[in-house]
Amino acid sequence: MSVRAQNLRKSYGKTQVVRDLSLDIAPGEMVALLGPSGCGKTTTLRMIAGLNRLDGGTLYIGDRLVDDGRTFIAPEKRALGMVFQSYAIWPHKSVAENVAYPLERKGLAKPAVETSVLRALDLVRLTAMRDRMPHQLSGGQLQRVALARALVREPEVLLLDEPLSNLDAALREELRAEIAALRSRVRTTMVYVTHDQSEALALANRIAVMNLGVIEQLASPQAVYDDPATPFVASFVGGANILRGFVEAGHFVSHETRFALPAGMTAKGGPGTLVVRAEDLEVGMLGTPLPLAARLFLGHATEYRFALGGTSLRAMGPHLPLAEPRVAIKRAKLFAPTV
Amino acid sequence: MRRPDATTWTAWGLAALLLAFAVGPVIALISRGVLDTEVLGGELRSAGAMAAVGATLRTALGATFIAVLLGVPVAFLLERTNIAGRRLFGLAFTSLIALPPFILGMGWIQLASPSAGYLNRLGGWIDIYGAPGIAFVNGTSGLPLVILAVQAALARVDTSLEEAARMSGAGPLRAIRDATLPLVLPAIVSGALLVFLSASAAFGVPYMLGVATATPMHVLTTRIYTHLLKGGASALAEASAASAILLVIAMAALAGSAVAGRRGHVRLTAGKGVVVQRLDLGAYRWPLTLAVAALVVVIVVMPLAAVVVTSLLGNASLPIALESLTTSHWHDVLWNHRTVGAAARSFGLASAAAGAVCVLGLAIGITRSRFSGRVAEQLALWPYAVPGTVVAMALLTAYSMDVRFIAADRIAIVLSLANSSSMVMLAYVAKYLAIGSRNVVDGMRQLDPTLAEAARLCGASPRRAFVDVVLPRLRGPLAATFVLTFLLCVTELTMSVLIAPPGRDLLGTLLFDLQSYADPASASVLACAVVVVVVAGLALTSFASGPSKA
Ligand SMILES: Nc1ncnc2c1ncn2[C@@H]1O[C@H](COP(=O)(O)OP(=O)(O)OP(=O)(O)O)[C@@H](O)[C@H]1O
Ligand SMILES: [Mg+2]
Repeated sequence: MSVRAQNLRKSYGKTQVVRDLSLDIAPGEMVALLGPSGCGKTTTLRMIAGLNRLDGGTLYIGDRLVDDGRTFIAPEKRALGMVFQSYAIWPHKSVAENVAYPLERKGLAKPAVETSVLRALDLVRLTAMRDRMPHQLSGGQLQRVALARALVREPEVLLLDEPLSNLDAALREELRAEIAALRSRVRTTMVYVTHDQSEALALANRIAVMNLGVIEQLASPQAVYDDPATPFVASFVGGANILRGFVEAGHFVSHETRFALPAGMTAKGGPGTLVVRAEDLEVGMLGTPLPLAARLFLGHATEYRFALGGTSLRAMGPHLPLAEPRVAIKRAKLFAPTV
Repeated sequence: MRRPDATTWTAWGLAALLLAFAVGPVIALISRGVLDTEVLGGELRSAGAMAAVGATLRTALGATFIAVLLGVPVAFLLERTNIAGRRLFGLAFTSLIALPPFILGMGWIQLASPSAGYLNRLGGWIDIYGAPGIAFVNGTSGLPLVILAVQAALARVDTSLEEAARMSGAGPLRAIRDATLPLVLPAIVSGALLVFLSASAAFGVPYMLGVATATPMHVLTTRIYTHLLKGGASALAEASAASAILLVIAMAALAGSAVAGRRGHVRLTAGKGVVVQRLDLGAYRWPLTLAVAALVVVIVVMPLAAVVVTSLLGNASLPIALESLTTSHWHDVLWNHRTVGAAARSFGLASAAAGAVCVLGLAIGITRSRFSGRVAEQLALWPYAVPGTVVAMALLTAYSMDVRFIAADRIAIVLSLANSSSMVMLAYVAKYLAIGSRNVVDGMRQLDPTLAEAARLCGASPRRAFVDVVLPRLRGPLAATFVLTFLLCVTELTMSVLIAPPGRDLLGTLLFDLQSYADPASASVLACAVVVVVVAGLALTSFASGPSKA
């Protein structure tokens, strides 16, 4: 089922948390809402769920208008599945009772509930835990109960709010793979909120990069990574360096330092913002001399940090025993000046 | 095995004191009431006693029902929704805790006595006398106990649990019932228990609304009081038997609620900080705000306003007219020697008792790491659940010269020589010590133990570390303990009326006397003064505890 959001707005008091946000999600698609903490991801998801009402805009789920400020369909009538950031597993109900609850609300008969619960628990590999109480489960298992409960009614749209953020690194990777595998088994539309770019890149069909309540770019993972629409997207998704300065005769000048623009890059003179990813900065004997602040050996590569007018410039490359390495820009993208 | 040191000895000494002056006398009283099977049998068979048991249960259960029925929804509205005026409502309900129910009862008599009540004169027909009225007044004065308990529990329950139920297809009310209610059930039970205990132990309200009427109705506390008034050995034995019954009721409620509370108890799993998303009431926001405001008006503002109006009229039966309102007689009521004497005695006793509760509570807090200290803590907790009437009876029978059963003669003589004021103070301390030990122990639990350890590593002795690091952090809890105990003692009636001898009035007994026998208008003037003291005390605590919390 599709989700169509047009010009959504939401304020808490005087602060605008979501500003004019539009998002079109095709049936069966998985879209990740990616952005830093506090940018309005949860608020957006909660508006889709019906847990927050819109201040403005229109929201369709499938062909049904669910909220436009006047018409409002209550969350329980939207038939969505949702996984909460805190999991929200009811501590007074066993695993099976938690998962059975949505079916009971639907008014299903007992045998039908049983079989559906078993199927859902099987899907998340928790059949053995069906009679445990929540406090007897680990974080990863709780997360899977939340997933099973959200999926058991076979919702057409599944909303996930940072489902992996409370887990440790190893478990996070395992469950990420599991969600990816799940995608091939259940064809529901998914909206997946995260602030972790690797989750978004690995799982989503498209990524909506959010900042300060607006979507700065909505594109495939590849496009977001390779062709960021704004300096913010480049720095948030690729961890790119953002240089403010101006273009002058094939060079970019920032913090009174001149960098040669890569060959083949044509740029008009004048102020601008240059975005350079760490791996697109070549460290070696050629290029601009800069004081080296730190050299971090990471195993697969070495990170260099150069001092540049009070900030630092990150470069990634092979380990070089040079005393005074220089940097050259291999690839970059120039934006109009930002404030 | 550690050799007993000064701390352990202190704690054992404390435990011995509690046994001798709080727990022991109660046990002695009860065993006397129960062991004297003839008297107990007579009491159990007597129609009056059974009627009193029935009336006690009816009024206490009624009060509990009213407090839960109103308190749970109000707690939910204040804690979980965007209802307007949350802070103001919270303040109103908390201040209700410190208002003596007796004064609310006075207000209700003036509002709704069948013949002359202000409301009835305006054309209403409400009869505040009798069991329903008693249950109503005790229920409304117990309301904050339920509200505070449930609010505290709700604050620990993640709102996303309820939202998850909504997403699973449950409507708003269904979601509250299935997701939140089971988790706050233990808090509802413990709030209900507190209301039941206080309502079944209440004396002033049932006396005023039940006994002092055309068709007297007794509850157990008033029955014990009238037994004692009669005097004589047999009346005393009957009072002991009635005390035993009253205590059994309280203990049964305690046990029952422990079972009910345990069954509902679950471990909350939410690892992260609790997320609170206040429910948007939408179109119901203002109607519900208005409903809560109306509740505050009915249960707090109206009875207090009635007391104020009566105090200004000088005579409750006068028609209400602006020109007949006057404060000219206030001076006479407040400055006559009887009032001044009672106030002086009450303030003195209450400050002494509050000081003692703080010191003993602190001692329990310090010694709690030892087994002996925990014994003392348990002993201190117990009398709080024992009805005040029973505590007073126990002390009287154990230590008074005139009505002595079991005491070692020497102790009895020393105490009775020291005058009855020390007995009143003893009763106050025994009854309210639990407040001190609770507050200190909770305060110490919240303290990071590494704070004191850090002081030790900086070269401070254990005592020094306590004085420099721990004690300053307990200032808030101790101040709160002092003020609350002081306020409860200044307005105490249930125990004072039994122990304080005639002619040596306390504020509570003077108020009781004036209201019940002599002069309701003067009683109203005095009640206004007491309310002013209470409000000032509350303002002082919120002022004192405000900065220390930060
Ligand atoms: N109920 C509320 N009342 C007031 N402000 C709120 C409320 N809920 C969220 N906000 C504010 O709205 C902004 C966006 O919140 P939101 O929860 O949508 O962020 P987020 O992108 O999900 O962040 P995170 O990654 O930390 O979960 C934040 O600045 C937050 O403080
Ligand atoms: Mg969030």
